[in-house]
Amino acid sequence: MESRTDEMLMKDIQAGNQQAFQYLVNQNLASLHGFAQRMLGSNSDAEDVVQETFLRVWNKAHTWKAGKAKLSTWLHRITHNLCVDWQRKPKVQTVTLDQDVAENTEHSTDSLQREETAQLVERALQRLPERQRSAIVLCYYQGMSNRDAAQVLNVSVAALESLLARGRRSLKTLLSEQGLS
Amino acid sequence: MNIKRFTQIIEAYGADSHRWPESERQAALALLATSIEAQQLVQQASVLDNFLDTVAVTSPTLQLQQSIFDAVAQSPQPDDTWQELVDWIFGTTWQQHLLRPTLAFLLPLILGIFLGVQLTTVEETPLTQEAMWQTEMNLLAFDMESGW
Repeated sequence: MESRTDEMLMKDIQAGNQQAFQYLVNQNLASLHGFAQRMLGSNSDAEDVVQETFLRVWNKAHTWKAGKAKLSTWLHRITHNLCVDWQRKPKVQTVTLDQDVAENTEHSTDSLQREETAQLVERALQRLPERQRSAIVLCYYQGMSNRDAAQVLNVSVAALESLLARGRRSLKTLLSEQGLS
Repeated sequence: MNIKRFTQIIEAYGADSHRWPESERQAALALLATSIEAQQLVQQASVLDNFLDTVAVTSPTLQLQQSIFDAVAQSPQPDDTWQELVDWIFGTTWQQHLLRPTLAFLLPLILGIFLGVQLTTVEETPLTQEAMWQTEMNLLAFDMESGW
């Protein structure tokens, strides 16, 4: 299928076109899944959140307005809000990202060391206050512009920069406590 | 771009210039090329960037993709005629939000002015003036006949 503008795609989805919806899923699934994984630190939780995100997109397609926000920004905002709600829910069982990775990967010595570092960094990320973690994940991992990330978090660009700087400072402190510096 | 702002950018966005704000990137790169202090800041920030780069995520499975499609296939979109009507009247972009109510307000005004001008023109047509003159003559004739 050819590349479509946000507006054309959403018009089709608003009209109930399932092919257009599948195109949207194919284009954004990996990015939103990665975002949710980094926000929640768990692959299985991320899968649930992403599935709920796309279901909301389908049911609330009419609430997307062209010109208000980029489609990717709107999708990230829905995912972000669901991640925040998810983290506030009482947990029955928590499967962490590092457990998932550990189960699915075979290691050489180098990759084992890298894996250990990754686990420490991942844990440090999860220990950050939610707003600081969101800012870092959106700007650093999702590659969002400062304006788009600020829109997702509903803050000014200056406030976003403050969250990012405080988040990075806290991460440095947490990692140096773990012997990484 | 000064070193104070450069420091803020590095502290927020890290060492990779691709993540720096687009509007300030060129100026920041120009400062980086000439300032040793700026180069040291980037080097320090790259340590944390390297740690962040170690965190990988797993790719979504095909089962996840399929379960999303299945969930949507079983969930018809809610009928939202009211929302469609509101969108039709007020539009969906901020330009339309502004333009459509303005047009809706101006249209009756323009129509009223047009009709007003037309009616005034009708009163001044020679035929109407002739009819009024004839009425006046008839009244005068009535006066003379009655002897008043």
